[in-house]
Amino acid sequence: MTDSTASPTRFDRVALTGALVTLVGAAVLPFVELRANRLVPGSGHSLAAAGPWAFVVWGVIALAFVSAVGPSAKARSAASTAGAYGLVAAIAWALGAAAEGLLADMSPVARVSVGGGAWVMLVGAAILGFAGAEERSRFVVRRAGPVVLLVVAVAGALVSGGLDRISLAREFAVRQEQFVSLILGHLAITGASLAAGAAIGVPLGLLAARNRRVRGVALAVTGVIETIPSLALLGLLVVPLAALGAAVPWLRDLGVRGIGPAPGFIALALYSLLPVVRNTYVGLTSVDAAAIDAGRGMGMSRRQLLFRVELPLAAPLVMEGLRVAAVLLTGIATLTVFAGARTLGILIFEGLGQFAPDLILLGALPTIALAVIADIGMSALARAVTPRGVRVAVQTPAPTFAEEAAA
Amino acid sequence: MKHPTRIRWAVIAVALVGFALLVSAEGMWRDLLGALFPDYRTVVHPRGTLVDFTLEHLALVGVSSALTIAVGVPLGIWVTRRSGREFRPLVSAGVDLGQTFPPVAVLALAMPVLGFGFWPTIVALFLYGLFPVVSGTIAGIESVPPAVTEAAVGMGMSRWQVLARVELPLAARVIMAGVRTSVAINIGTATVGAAIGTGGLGVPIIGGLAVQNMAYVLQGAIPAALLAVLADALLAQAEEGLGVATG
Repeated sequence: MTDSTASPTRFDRVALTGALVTLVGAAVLPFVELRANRLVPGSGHSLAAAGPWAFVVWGVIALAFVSAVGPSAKARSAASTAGAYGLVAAIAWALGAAAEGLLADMSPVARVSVGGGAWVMLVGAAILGFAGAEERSRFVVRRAGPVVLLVVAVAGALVSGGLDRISLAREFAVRQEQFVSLILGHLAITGASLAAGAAIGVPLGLLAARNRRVRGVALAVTGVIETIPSLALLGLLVVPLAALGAAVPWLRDLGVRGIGPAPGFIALALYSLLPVVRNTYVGLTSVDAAAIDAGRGMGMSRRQLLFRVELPLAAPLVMEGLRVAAVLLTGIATLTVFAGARTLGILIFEGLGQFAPDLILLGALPTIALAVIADIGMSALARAVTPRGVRVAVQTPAPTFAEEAAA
Repeated sequence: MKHPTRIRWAVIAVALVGFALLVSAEGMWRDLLGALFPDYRTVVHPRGTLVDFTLEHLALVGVSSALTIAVGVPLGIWVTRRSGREFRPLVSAGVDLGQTFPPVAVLALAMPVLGFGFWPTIVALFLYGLFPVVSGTIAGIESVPPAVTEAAVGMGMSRWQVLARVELPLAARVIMAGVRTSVAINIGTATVGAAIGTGGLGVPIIGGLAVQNMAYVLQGAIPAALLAVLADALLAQAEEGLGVATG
């Protein structure tokens, strides 16, 4: 619709929403859950379980409401930012305090888990923080804001110390070594397949930009691959690889067999092709013809034109394709465990199999964090490779629907 | 232009019928997989027929995608209206961030919070599916040139009329692209639902990988891949059709 100017509001509805979400989380849902051991269902306990810390949390929630109605936009922004960080810190401390209190006279196998209310309150804090950041809505603030909040939470946890009584931390303590090796395995298979995807995808995109027939085939085939559910693609790869490994012993020794890292690696590399090929193709075909003419006028050979003009100008879009692929692969890598790879998916699916909620969290939360970090890191890289002269002009017109497809 | 479109619809219809016949041909799967894997004692998953798995899969995807559209499109419209405009940056940022979350992680996180089974899975699929639908709706409506909506207002249309007769028809194609992405993700994620007991075509795949029975794996993987490709082709065709209707 075409409404001219938004009427100047005297309060920030977004911050108010954040405060309300936090209030609902605090008042209605259980703050923590106490369970006799790590597997049985627990009983919910309200914020009151945190003792005096509950009052601190309520105080910060009150501040959040005040921040929404501050006198000026600037003041509201500062107050809601402070409220968001205060909330995260207060929730972290209260969780530790609640765990200490509830576990005081329980058996050592008893567990206290973060309850739905605490999660909802954290979402409320994120909304509040966003409302505060909106005033200076820079790229970095928007993308990195949630991550910073997370770091504050973890730092709060370390400072308070009480948080190590929370079930998630105990699950981590028990599996520390496995956890580290799984994160490394996750990064290894994702990184290796992304590198392979780039090594195949960029030349393929280049060919597609040069040759119409290649373009049609390459985009159609990679598009179909992208729609196939990852579990199905894994299955379709495991079967022939198992047969191949059984028939050719030296291939088997190299790791080519049905169950193992090979099918996961190949599946991930295949999934990375669509975003990489498409963005390389779009990047190269959207290079300004005048720039190529200028290069030619300077006496550049075709090779020089490609490496000094076309590829540098296409680089931001190629990187954007790699970013989409990296985020996609980080998620799909969890599924490669069904074919025998060792990634964070092991924790997720072991947790789902045992009905152990905190084990699921131990696998799922780091996976999400890795995906978000990949997103931020690759965005920053994409900016870094943008030639200075076109930094303002290129605003990634690439189709990013490639996020689609296939868990 | 009328002719090729009709032919493409016909091809898709034939493919759908072919798919239905394929999954219901229980005996054919048994013979074919038995011939491929003569050493196995069983070659079809014992938990149910392929028709059961397919119907379970379609139920998961159908219900969650219907909910996604019913909530996502109005939400996307609301943040482009005057009453919701303040929430537009929050919703966009949330949708952007949400899309970087791996769908499997979201599905997994829903379990401790919501419990196991059909409905919790539906809720997780629904929530994750919202992201592309909302961003498609916002992008679609904002792609309508202001001059066009101003002209409509100038013709005396009410705000509802502008939305229903001008903005939504012009945005339909982009919205449909978001729906297509959402459905593709849902079909893929629903396969993983088998790991949490919701059935679907993932059951023979996961079961087969667990007991190293490659016949089970193929029995699930082939129909799952075909279903995803077919659904995508169908929605792509619908998207195309919307483009023609408004062009």
